[in-house]
Amino acid sequence: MFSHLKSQRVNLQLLQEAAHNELVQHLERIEGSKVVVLDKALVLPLGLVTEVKVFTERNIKLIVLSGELDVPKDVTNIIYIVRPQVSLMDQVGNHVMKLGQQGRQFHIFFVPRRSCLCEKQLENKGYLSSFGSVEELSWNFLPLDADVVSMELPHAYRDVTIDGDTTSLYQAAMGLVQLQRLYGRIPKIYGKGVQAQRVWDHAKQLAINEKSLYNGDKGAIDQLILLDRGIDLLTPLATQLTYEGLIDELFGIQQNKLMMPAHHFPASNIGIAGDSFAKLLGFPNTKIISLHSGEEGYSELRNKHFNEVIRLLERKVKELNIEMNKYSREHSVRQLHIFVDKLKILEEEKRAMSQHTEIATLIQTQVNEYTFAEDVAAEQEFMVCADIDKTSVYIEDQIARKNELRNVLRLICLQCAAASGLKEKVLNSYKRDLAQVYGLEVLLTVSNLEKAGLLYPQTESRSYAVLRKTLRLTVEDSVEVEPKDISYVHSFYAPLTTRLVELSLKPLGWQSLKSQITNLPGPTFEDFQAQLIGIGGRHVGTTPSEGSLLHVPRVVLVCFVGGCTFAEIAALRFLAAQEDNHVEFVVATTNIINKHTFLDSVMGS
Amino acid sequence: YHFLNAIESNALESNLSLIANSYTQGRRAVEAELCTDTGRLLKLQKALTTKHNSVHGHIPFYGMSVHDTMLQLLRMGEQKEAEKIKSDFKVPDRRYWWLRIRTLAENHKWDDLEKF
Repeated sequence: MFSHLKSQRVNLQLLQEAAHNELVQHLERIEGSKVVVLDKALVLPLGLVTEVKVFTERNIKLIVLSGELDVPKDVTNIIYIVRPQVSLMDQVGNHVMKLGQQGRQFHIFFVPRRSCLCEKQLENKGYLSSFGSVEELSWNFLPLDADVVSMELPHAYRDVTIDGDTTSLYQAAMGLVQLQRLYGRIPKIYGKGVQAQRVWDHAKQLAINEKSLYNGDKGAIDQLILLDRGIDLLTPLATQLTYEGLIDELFGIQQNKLMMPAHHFPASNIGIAGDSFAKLLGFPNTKIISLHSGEEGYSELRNKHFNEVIRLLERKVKELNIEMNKYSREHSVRQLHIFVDKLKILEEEKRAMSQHTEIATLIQTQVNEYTFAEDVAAEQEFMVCADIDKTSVYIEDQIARKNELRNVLRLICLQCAAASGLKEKVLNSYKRDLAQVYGLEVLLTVSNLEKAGLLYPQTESRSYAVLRKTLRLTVEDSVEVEPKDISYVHSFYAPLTTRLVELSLKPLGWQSLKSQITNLPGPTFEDFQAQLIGIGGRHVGTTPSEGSLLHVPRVVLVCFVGGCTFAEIAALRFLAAQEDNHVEFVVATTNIINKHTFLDSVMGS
Repeated sequence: YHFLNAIESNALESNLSLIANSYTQGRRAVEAELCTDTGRLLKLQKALTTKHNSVHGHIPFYGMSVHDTMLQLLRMGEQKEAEKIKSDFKVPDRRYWWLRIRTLAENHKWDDLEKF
């Protein structure tokens, strides 16, 4: 159904189909006419596993969950598909109270797990008995693209660090077990960070009873690398300079969908790529553009540095023009026939190109603005540790002009990450400035940042400064066009997380890394899941088949606990494209984040 | 200091000393100091509001940040009072000059701006 998910050795279409079938099964078990009420947070994620057609074919009406519910009179079943959040239960309860008398049946599907709290909430209010069935749709990881799965939990990092809610860790563990069920046992596991370790401990616990995982050969995935967002907080705060990263930061990509004001695009384009799930949310005058590897042109552009994208677009448009003109001079009937066929493809390409040039122009205008360049320049100074122990004049000026608080805090946190903690004096001076300009309330936000580990006083170790050298996080002779190193995604800074992955690919890579990253917070761990042989269940260190598979690329599942950015994904794709690495990546993350969404989530109260 | 969260929501002047105390208990001297500063500021703002009521009409100083209070005063041309706040609350020169430049530009006092 979703062809863009295919093509990899780990075929994520399987995951999508499994999720889709689960939904259909649950739906068909309920007899009679139905209405499906969707949690707002699930409308777009639902589009990742299924199509609106599934509902319309079965004559099911879709409604977005809200305070007032308008249900046709003749419907006998009302099905809720919701995240397990207690606050939603009150809304559901209200509906039950209003509509319950008319002999209707209620059903509720929790995604991905039912929660005791939610059920208790319904029970306490006495609604639970009105529900015909309470089911769960175990959609832990949703397939975003051929090599990316995401839990679509935007607040995972915040939940764990600030609110102490570890549900997302458990869900990630469930997801890892689920992936192993589909794709087979993962023999080797490396990991770094406290939360990453917790995820793995959970996953091991969960898998203990699944004997099938330990029998038979290893699966399609050779290796798992679990990385905690907490070990690298600089990357998510930095401005991404890849095409996809910039689109996300400036306009926001949600579940592969980009919403843009329609007036930027010629009218003829509207409606072509319309997505019916997004329509449910009802945005007038918005154009919805799908962005994934199945889209013409996009797969080539998305991971490139923005400066390269502009050039590529220019060249493409030229090529397209030549193609079009070439054929208009051909005259024989046969040739015309071929041309007409080709024209369709060309037209499609042209449409895609015009869309991307439009997006690129919009980005260009914002990127060209003075403030953008200034911000990036300030970031880059921190990245190379210039003047890092003093208060930054640039930040102070930003505060003095009372510029957007989020951006100011972002820069302060960035300095803190690069300096591995701010000097007491510096931190206090920032606090005083912030409180005097933005008001006392800002201290609450600051305390959130402190809890999230984004702001902290300096200690002895200078892990970033050391790692910058040993792991070559900043590269001096970096090129943005046709790059040779992953550092191009931030112009010259290589995200720590992806650098770790890159180095671990080398022979004995992880072993030598271990000693280098002891300064980073959290434990470094490794684990092997070997095949059980014989009755005694003897463990074998490495699977013998691995050595003979040298010519087939290894598949490495990189799991980001707490979210990852498009730039990091781009860097991983870049690594996979290098031939001597012999590797394919699958990325699993709690959510795709960028500098805005990450901070917003942490700052909010 | 965690229960600041609960108190802050109704942001009452009377709670400030309480909050400051809990900050001190949590060994967070800066935050505590800022709380007492805010207390002083709120008193001052009340005075300012009554003082300027007759000339400039009712201006709700109350609850503004230090920065906004100075900005408001400069806009009204009350440079002396703004400077008093500057020294009272130890506002760095640099930030104060930003405000000065901004207000002068707003009022098109280009001559004064050149004198800098």
